[in-house]
Amino acid sequence: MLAGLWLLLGAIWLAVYPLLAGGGRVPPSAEGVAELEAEKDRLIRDLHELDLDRATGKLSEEDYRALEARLKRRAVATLEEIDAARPRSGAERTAT
Amino acid sequence: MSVYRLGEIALWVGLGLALYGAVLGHVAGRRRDPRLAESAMRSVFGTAVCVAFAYLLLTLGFLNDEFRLSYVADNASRAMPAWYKMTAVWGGMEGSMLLWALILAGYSTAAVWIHRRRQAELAPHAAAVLQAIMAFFLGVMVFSSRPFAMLDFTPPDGLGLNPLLQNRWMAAHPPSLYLGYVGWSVPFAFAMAALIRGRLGADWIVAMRKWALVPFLFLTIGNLMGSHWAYIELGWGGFWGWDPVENSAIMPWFVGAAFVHSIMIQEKRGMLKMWNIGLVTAVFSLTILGTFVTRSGIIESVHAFASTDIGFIFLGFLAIVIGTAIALAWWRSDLLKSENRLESYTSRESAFLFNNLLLVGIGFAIWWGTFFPFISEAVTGERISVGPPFFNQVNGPLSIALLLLLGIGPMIAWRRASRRNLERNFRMPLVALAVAGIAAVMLGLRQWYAVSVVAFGVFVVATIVQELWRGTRARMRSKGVGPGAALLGLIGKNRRRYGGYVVHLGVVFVFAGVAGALFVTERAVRMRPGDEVEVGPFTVLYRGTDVEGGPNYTATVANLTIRDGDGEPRRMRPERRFYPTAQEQVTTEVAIWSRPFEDLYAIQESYEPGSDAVDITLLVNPMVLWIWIGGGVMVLGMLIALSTPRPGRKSRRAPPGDLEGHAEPRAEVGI
Repeated sequence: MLAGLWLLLGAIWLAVYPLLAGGGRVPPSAEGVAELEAEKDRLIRDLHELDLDRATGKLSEEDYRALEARLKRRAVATLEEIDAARPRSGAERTAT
Repeated sequence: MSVYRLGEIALWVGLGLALYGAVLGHVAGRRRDPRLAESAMRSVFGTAVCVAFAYLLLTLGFLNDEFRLSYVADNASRAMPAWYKMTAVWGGMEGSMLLWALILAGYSTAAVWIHRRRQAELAPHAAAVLQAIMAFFLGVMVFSSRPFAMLDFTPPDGLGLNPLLQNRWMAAHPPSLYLGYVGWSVPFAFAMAALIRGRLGADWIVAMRKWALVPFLFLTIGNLMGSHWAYIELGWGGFWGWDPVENSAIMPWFVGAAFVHSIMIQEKRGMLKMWNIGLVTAVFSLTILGTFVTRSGIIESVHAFASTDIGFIFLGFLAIVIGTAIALAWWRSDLLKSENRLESYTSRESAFLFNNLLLVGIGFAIWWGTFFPFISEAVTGERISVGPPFFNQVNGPLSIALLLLLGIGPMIAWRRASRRNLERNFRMPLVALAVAGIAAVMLGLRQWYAVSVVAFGVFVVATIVQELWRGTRARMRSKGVGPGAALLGLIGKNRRRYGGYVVHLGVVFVFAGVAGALFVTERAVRMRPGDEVEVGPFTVLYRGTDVEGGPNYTATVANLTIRDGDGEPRRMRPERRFYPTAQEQVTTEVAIWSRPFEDLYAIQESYEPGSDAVDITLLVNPMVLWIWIGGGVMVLGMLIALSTPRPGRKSRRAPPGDLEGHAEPRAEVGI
């Protein structure tokens, strides 16, 4: 019985501890970069799929080239945005 | 104080923590305060501790025959084997709610732990939504369906678990179904978080892909198990009766299948953002509805709804869920506009759109048919039921169209497909379709549904084989390996795509099994010892009945000997069981001889001790085995798709310059 009560008190302590301890361990949000990273991953996967679609005969060479060029342009732009955003999020971290 | 009072206290503490997290998560997200966010997210873990503790205590109550607990007295008895006492925990409304909460606690803990850094902005809001859902279920258990409610006295024995539920499939079915139901809370919570923060790009969709696939997998397993249980336990010879409870479990499956496909369109093309928010809200709402319908018996009568508060509580919660989602989507409607337009009707996104319309259409038809008696009784006072003919007539054509799309969708590229590509990709599968259709008619099939299943099923299989062959051939050329290594490599490097194809193959098998129900042969006979009867290709000899005892029942067991031509005779023993402690219920335990192309299914309807005569119903059910095989193949395909490495894991290792030359990362994953 007593052990059970201690367990429940421990559950409450688990939740309120970060408030009492001061300073959280959660890093400052880098959501802008995270979204760009997701976009980069998505574009890389799209490029793989494009290769597979060409290999399995779903795309003509002409369509493949056009779509590949479009995806690569977007991928390069995304990488540049990530590079530009990273120092900013680092600066935010220092400020916090 | 009884130790079981601690269970009630644990639920109260859990409720407090859930409410705390539900409020603090949003405050933390709004203020971007990491300390508050950490506390809100940790409240999820604290609640999980409370719920797990309460569940453990209730299980101990069952194992220790603690009949002072009203819920234990209603659902267990001393004679029940320990295994069934453990499964009886979720045999009623109160325990089901606790199981729901336990699974939600597990999912929430895992989701918050995994995404607290990866989706640092969304995670506190998602934790808050998950805690709000948890608060609802804990609130139901604290104020209405109390699993730890005590009686004023201790009964000498309990009423026992419904004998129909004393079956190994039924023991595994509810947890699997609940893993399927509850898992949708996570994509729903992150969808709401994305709406609140206005981050409605592909990020949340990519993060939630596996969180949608996992509950979809469990819903598939749960429905298969439930169907199998109905087939072997209910004793009517079928595997699906369009019962409200069955329908409640299959509705989220169809809408969930639509979501699993449509998120790919948002991920790849930035389209269908609003639709995806609508779908995930619909699936989550259907899981809540399904949980409620399963346990309340509400569909039986509108009066059952009025006689208890719980109906209004669930209805209120559903209204809040749907209302909140609509309000948030309205608020963020500018951000939910598509980034691209449909470029061509001959594109994969177009095929996916049709597939979504069909899946949601089937889901809606089932919802309408299921709730029509309830709606008609509420509106007109007269209960008008729609039976299996309604569901079969509406869903038959829709499901056939869906089967056809299973073959079409994967054969078309994203964005657009040229006429030449279409001709090249569809020539062989269309020839296979025509040959299979003509062969089916020539072999005597006349029902349009069966002919369509054969023709379209062969078409889908042909498209999959063609896809595998072309991919394997391309890999053999690029890697210089043999066909086996190339095939395994192709699937291994593209698990998401080929896992999906394996699922489609499983669906074809399930269709074949379902179509077999059109050709059932049934014979009901009274037999005395020595009597012989023929049904389908089988000759059935009755040799008399034994009376046997089980752990908590007695059974009359008919001894049948089955011959099929010159093959080895086989024994079958259909039973009727009498459970003296469980509301004096009688159940039938059917005997099944399962073969690849037909099942012989024997039901003992009644037994006359004086003359040793039995009334036996014999059915020959074609192709049923393929439903279970197809289900297994679907599960395998989902596991393959789920085993895809986390997005970004590989690409992060690749330097940015690789995108220019794109040699390394693309060779690693694609062809």
